[in-house]
Amino acid sequence: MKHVFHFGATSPQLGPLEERLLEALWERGNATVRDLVNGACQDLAYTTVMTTLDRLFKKKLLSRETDGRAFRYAPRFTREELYRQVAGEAFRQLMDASSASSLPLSYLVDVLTERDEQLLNHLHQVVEAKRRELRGGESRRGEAPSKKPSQRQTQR
Amino acid sequence: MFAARGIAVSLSVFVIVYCVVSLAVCLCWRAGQLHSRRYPVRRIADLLFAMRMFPLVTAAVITAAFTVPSFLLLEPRAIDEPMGYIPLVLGIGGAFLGIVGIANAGIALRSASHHVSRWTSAAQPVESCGAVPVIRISPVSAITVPAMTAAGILRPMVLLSGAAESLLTANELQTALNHEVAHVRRRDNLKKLLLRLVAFPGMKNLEGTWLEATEMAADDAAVSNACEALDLAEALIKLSRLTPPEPSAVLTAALIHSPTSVMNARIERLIAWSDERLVSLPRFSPRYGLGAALATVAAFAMTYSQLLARVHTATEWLVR
Repeated sequence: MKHVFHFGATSPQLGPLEERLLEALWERGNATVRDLVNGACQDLAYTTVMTTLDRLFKKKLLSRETDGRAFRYAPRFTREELYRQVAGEAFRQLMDASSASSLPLSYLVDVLTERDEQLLNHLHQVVEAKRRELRGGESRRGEAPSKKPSQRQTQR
Repeated sequence: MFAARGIAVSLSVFVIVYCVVSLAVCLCWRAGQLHSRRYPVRRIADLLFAMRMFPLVTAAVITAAFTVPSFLLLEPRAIDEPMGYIPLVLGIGGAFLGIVGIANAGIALRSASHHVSRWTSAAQPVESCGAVPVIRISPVSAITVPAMTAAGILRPMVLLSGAAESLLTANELQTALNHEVAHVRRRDNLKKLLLRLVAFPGMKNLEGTWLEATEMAADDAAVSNACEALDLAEALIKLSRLTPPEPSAVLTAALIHSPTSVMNARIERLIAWSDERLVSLPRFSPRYGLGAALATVAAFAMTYSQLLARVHTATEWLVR
């Protein structure tokens, strides 16, 4: 989900720090600023995390409730829901960008076909690698019995 | 009037039970989705299908075993009791639900039969695979044919395109055929037809997950070791290049189908095949089932008259 995102017309792009904190919150479920600073974001300053979480809250990506004197933040969307929303928004922008509505669709189909082909090639390579691994394992097993007599001989 | 009132009351109870149980299944499904790594995928597929059919079975059993007998035995025939709007509306709702389900299944059957007859217009029988006939199909006058699919409900068969046959090696073809035969043995097309009968809003997600689970269960049934799993994975890759995945025709089980993410998940799952998937599921002795059934029957026999009286009171309340 790198550097894609426009949430509606008013929301700015999601920065790397925001993405990182969002990922940390998806991992934990919910957290206060202190939890994050003591856990996944030890390299970040308390105020940096606090400001970034506040920004995400204002972008309506997080919900928060008071927990003592601090806020406890939780993601409003699951990772999948956010991907879907982001992708939908990106497609809508793409469709709106051209007066000929079929053109962006054809570009999209081209890209998807290319990606599918690449993915199938990758899977084919993985299958071949696995086959080689299996054949290697079988040949090693095949060699094993022939070693046994010689081992016995040396023992004698 | 007595008969009309009886039908309206029975259909009303059917609709109420069906909707309430369907809603409960929907909510339970959303609350705790099953994770495929914890259970064998075949068991998950069976469980999902049972969950999907549970509302229909429950509503039918309650209506047939309690509502109808309680009305026939306990409702006085002599009294010409007026019927309220609620049972009338619910009764019409029940009849509508039944008609929609039957029409839905009929349309699906007709569409499936139309597709199969078009695909097999110039077909040749090849051989049988595990007592299931395999038919070779070829594209006729711009009709695209699936690479490989299991079709038919009463007389199931596997349709194999000439292109797929020539593209796959003998081992790949055998595992792919085994996959389709597994669909036939599990009667997946019949189950799909039954699902058409029990339409209910909000169940699409459950049905989609069931479809994925049936494909993976058929993959598991088709292979028995890592080499065969790789053969099937390779067959899926080759046939995906041949025909882009698209939705299967209704009441058929195509080897290559959309969405692509499911196809990729299947291929990755086959590549990561492990012997643990061969471990047979613990089978419960039929004695347990028989014992449970006998206990249920005995419990109902002892309390049946009381239950009928209570059901009758409830239906009286409904009618008024």
